[in-house]
Amino acid sequence: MRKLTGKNTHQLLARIVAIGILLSAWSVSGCKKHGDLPAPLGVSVPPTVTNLVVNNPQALDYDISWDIADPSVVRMYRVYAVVRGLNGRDSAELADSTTSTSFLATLAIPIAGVRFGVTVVTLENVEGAMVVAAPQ
Amino acid sequence: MKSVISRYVLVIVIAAGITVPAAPVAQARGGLNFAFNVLVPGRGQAQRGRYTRAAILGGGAVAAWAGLMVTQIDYNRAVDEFNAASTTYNGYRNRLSAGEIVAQMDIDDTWTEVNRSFQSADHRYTVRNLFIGGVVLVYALNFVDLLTSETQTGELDAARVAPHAPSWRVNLTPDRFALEKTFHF
Repeated sequence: MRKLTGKNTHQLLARIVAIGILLSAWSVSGCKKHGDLPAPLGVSVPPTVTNLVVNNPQALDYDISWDIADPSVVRMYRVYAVVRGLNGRDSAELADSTTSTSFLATLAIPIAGVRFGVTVVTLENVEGAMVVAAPQ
Repeated sequence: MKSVISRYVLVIVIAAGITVPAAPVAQARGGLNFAFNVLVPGRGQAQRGRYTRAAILGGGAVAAWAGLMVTQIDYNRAVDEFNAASTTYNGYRNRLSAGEIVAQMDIDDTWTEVNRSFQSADHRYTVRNLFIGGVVLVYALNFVDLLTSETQTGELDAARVAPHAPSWRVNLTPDRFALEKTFHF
């Protein structure tokens, strides 16, 4: 039985190494990699209202007013009625939206412990964080 | 994944076809048997009586393939999570363009999830590739060993053994009979 000569072995090993490199590169490229991170939306963070005041002149009426530092980015304000549930968590229900910095909320029935929250919706349709205040 | 396996098989068969003509030893041992030995690490070594190498290569192949399967499944899950989060995040762009109001908090939470799932997928991608390299390495070592190793016959090499074997010699002359023994230390 013939044995491998030195030159023959070197040629063979060189071929094996070359095939191994090609195999490795081809195998890794065959499995698709996950995609790149998506591009950020690039929307501005909405501002929050300041000096939110809730007055309760009558039993079911609540006079809500607030300020905004930069009204130029505001599309509308959203007013929410906030109540605390049995699990201790706040639940906010959209009452209405307005473009002014004040709002008169009229409840159908009295709600004990009701509070009111206001959010800013920017021109890019992004709604910011809610500022909540209790009736004074 | 199927494309990867088919590529492996195809390249191994091509490699065997390229290298077999250049390997008289392998050619003499039967092409089909050699092909099987290439595809099943450890089989050829066991046929030649080299059981330690057979166990190492065979066990290595099993571990590498099992690891590749597990890490590939893990990577697929991570990619699914990343794709779902990315789809949701990109969906916000369309919704905002259509005039729908989207909460900043939702955008931020989704972006956080996108980043987390991306890092997770990236990590699992690297680990999966390590096992691909392991499979390739085992098959390459098996290939080299099949072509360069010889059958373990169990016979002792006289040149190696002779210096340590006690030698006896009978020296017979007309007037004397001598029995000589040589010890090696």
